[in-house]
Amino acid sequence: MVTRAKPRQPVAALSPRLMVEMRGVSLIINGKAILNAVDLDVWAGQTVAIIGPSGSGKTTLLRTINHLARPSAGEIRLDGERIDPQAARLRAQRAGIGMVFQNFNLFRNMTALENVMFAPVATGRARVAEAETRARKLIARVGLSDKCGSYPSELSGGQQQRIAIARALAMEPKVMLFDEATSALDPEFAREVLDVMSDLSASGMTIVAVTHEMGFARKVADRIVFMEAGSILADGTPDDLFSEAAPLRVKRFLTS
Amino acid sequence: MDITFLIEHLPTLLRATRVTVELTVATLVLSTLLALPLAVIGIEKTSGVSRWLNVYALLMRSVPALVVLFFLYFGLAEVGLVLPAFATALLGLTMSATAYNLAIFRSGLMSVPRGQIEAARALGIPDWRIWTFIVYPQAMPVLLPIYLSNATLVLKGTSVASIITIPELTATANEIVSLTYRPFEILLGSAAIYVALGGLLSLASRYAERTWRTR
Ligand SMILES: Nc1ncnc2c1ncn2[C@@H]1O[C@H](COP(=O)(O)OP(=O)(O)OP(=O)(O)O)[C@@H](O)[C@H]1O
Ligand SMILES: [Mg+2]
Repeated sequence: MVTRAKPRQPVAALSPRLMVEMRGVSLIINGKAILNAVDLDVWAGQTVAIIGPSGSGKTTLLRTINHLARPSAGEIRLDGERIDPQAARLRAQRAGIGMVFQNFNLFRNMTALENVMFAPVATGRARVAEAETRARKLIARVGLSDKCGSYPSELSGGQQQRIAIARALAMEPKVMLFDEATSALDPEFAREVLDVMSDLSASGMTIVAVTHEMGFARKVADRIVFMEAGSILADGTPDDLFSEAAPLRVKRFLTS
Repeated sequence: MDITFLIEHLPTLLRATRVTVELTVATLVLSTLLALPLAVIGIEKTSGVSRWLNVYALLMRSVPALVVLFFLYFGLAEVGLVLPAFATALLGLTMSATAYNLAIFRSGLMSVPRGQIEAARALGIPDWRIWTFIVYPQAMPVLLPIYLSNATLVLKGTSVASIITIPELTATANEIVSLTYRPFEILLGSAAIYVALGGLLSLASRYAERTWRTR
C-alpha cells in the first residue's frame, strides 16, 4: 500500500509550489530496471528523507534528478521547468540543484574558500570579489570561518562535508540533494553535518536526503519515502511510517 | 683527442643543434597541444572514439619512429603528396610523440578521483573548465615526471630525422665524420651537446615538479 503525504502547510504562498516533480522515471541498465516508473513530488520548503535497503535505487533516484544518471523514460521537472538534456540548458538547470555526496568530493587542488567560490565564477554567475564575499558568508554559516585557507586534506571529514554543503549553496540552488552525507563520518562529525542540514531545513530550503540516520528522518523530515527494488513502496509522514499502521515491509526495515 | 679539431667544427655542430632544438620544441608543443584534449576522451567512460585513440596510441608506440618517417617520406610521395623534409619529420615525430603523451596524460587523469568530476558537473561547471582547473592540475604531479622523461626521449628521437636529410645534430656529425674520417672528437662533441640539452630538460623537470608538488 502506498500512502501519499500531503504537502506541508506552505509558508508564504497561497498555493503550494512543486519544486521537484518526477513522472514515471525509469532507468534501465542492461535490461535491469534500476528505477521502475518512479513518481515523486517534492514541494517547496519540504524536507524529504529517502530510506530503503542497500541497492534499492536511492542514489540512482537522486542522480536522475539532475541527470547525472540519464533516465531511460519519464520526465523530471525542477520548479515547473522540464530538465532539458541539451548540454547548455542542462548545465544551467544543474546549477539550481545542489548536491552533496557521501565522499564529499571537494576539489583537492583548491582551498575551502576556493572550493566554495569556484562554481559561481566558473559559470559566469558572479565576479571574483562578489563570489568571495558570499563564499565567506556561507563558510561562516557552516561554522568554518577559520578554515577558509585550508585544503581538503587538512580538514576532518565533517569539516569537508560542511564545506561541500557551502559549495552547493553558493549556487543558490532551489533544492538540495544529499546522498548519505554522513555515512562516511564518525558519529561526532556526523552530528555537525546533521546540524547544518537541520538548520537548512528549518530555513525553508527544499531538501531531498537519502539517509540511514533514522533520527534525522524522524525528527527533521516532513516526509519519508521508502524505496525497494527501484520502486517507491511507501511515502508518508514520519508518524505514518514509524507507526504500527505502516506497511509490513517498512516496519521490517525499520526494526532490522 | 684533438680539441682544436673539435673547436674548428663546433660552429657547424651548433648550427645543427639549433635544428635539433627546433624539431624537439615543435614536436613537444604540437604533441602536447594535441594530446591534452584527446587524453580526456574516454576517461569517464569508453566510447567509439576513445577505443580508436587507444588503437592509434598502441600502434604508434609499437612502430619505430624510423619506420613512420620512411613511410611518410616515401609513402606520401608515392601518392603524389610531397612535403618538405622538415615538415615530414615534424609530422612523423609528432604522430609518435602524441601517442606517448596520450598514454602519459591518461594515466595522470585516471589518478584523479572520479567523484570530483561528478561534483563539478552537478554544479553546472562547463566541461573544459572541469578539466582545466580541477582534473589536470591534480593529474600534474603524477604525469609530469613521466612526461618530462619522455621529453628527453623526444629530444634523442629527433636524430632519426637524419635519415630523411634533415641537417640536425646527428646527421651533421655523421657528415663531418665521413668527410674527415675522425669520428672520435665529433661524436664526443655531439654527445656532449645532447647531454647538455637533456640536462636543461631535467632542470626544467626539477623546477616543474617543485611547482606541482602533490597536496
Ligand atoms: N551505472 C550502473 N551500472 C549498473 N548497475 C548500476 C549502476 N548504477 C547502479 N546500479 C545498480 O542499481 C542498483 C541500485 O543502486 P543504488 O546505488 O541506486 O542503490 P542505493 O539504494 O543507493 O544503495 P546503497 O544504500 O547501498 O547506497 C544496484 O543494484 C546497483 O548495483
Ligand atoms: Mg546509495
